[in-house]
Amino acid sequence: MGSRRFGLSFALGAFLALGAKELFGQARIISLAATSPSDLSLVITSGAIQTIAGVTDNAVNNFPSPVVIQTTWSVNPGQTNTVNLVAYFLVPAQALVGGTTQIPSSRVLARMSTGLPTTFTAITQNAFAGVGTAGGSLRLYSVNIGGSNKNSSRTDNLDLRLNLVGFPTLRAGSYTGVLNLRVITQ
Amino acid sequence: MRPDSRAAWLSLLVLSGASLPLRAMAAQSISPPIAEYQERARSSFQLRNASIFPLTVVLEVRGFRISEAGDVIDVPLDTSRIHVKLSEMSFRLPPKGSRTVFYEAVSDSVPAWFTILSAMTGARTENGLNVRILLPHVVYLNQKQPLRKEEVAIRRLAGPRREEGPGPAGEYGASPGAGLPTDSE
Repeated sequence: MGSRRFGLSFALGAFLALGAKELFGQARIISLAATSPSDLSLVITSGAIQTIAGVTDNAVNNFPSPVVIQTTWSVNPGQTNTVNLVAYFLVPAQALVGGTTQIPSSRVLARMSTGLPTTFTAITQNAFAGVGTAGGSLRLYSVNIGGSNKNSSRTDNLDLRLNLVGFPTLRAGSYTGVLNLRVITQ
Repeated sequence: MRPDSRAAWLSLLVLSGASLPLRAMAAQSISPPIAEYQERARSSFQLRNASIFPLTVVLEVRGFRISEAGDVIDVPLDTSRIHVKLSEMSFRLPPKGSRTVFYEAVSDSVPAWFTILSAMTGARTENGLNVRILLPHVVYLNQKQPLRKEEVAIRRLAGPRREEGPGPAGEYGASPGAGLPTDSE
């Protein structure tokens, strides 16, 4: 019994001696850090699908409602100088296709009153910064980023119209296409 | 209620009302748009769809270079030098959903850079124009050691020489090939 008590006391003494650092050490410093990642969003609040119910041949046809685009960014000005938006068709000769008929991008006009093409402009520009297609692109806006607008947003209306003046009469049917909107941060 | 506290409540109401559109804006988004790593990247980015419609997302890895004017120019990815693995190449993003895309990237030489493009499309129409959104996630792979002074060169590329320019006319440094490649390279 006595030897067992002695053994326990010895073990406890050894444990305290070896673990003394942990028991009596200085307070540890725990560093806390939180990072808010940068963010970029493009929202089409309305008009993601543009349809003209009845197209009139040899006339300018307006798409009934604009594409409403909201761009929001929270970026580091040390990494991002500008935010640009470019619209383009992948195949400029086939902006809209229906059966064997192809409507080129030169017949699709766009306007962004708060952006760069303030009047209706054919989507026939060359690629901007390598983004888009030759003869099938249109730069919509460019925003310089600084300390004052590193967290900001903007809302733009993109008005679209189909210019069929002088274009061969369209055959009855459906015509579809995809307009790409690409954000460029640089 | 005292006039002061009434004014405070009114201000609070106005402020909360003003913040509603900001919350509604958080829709098709990417975070972070730009990321920097040392030598290799094992990371992720997040795509969010806060709209009430499902989106089809297709990912594509692109390269880019910097022009002499400092502009980014989109080019195909140099797959012989930069190796990127994505956790997935396409998926459906449900309404009000988000998705984290993981990737690994390594380059045979650094610095290197590329863009992961996320093309988001909603429901397809049978008649008319669809709008497709493309958001970038730009990745830079930097070297661990900072550039040495002799590795940084600044040269005047065009324009008349000026007498008061620092150092030898037309050149302010040495060692071509260091730093970002430009159109001339």
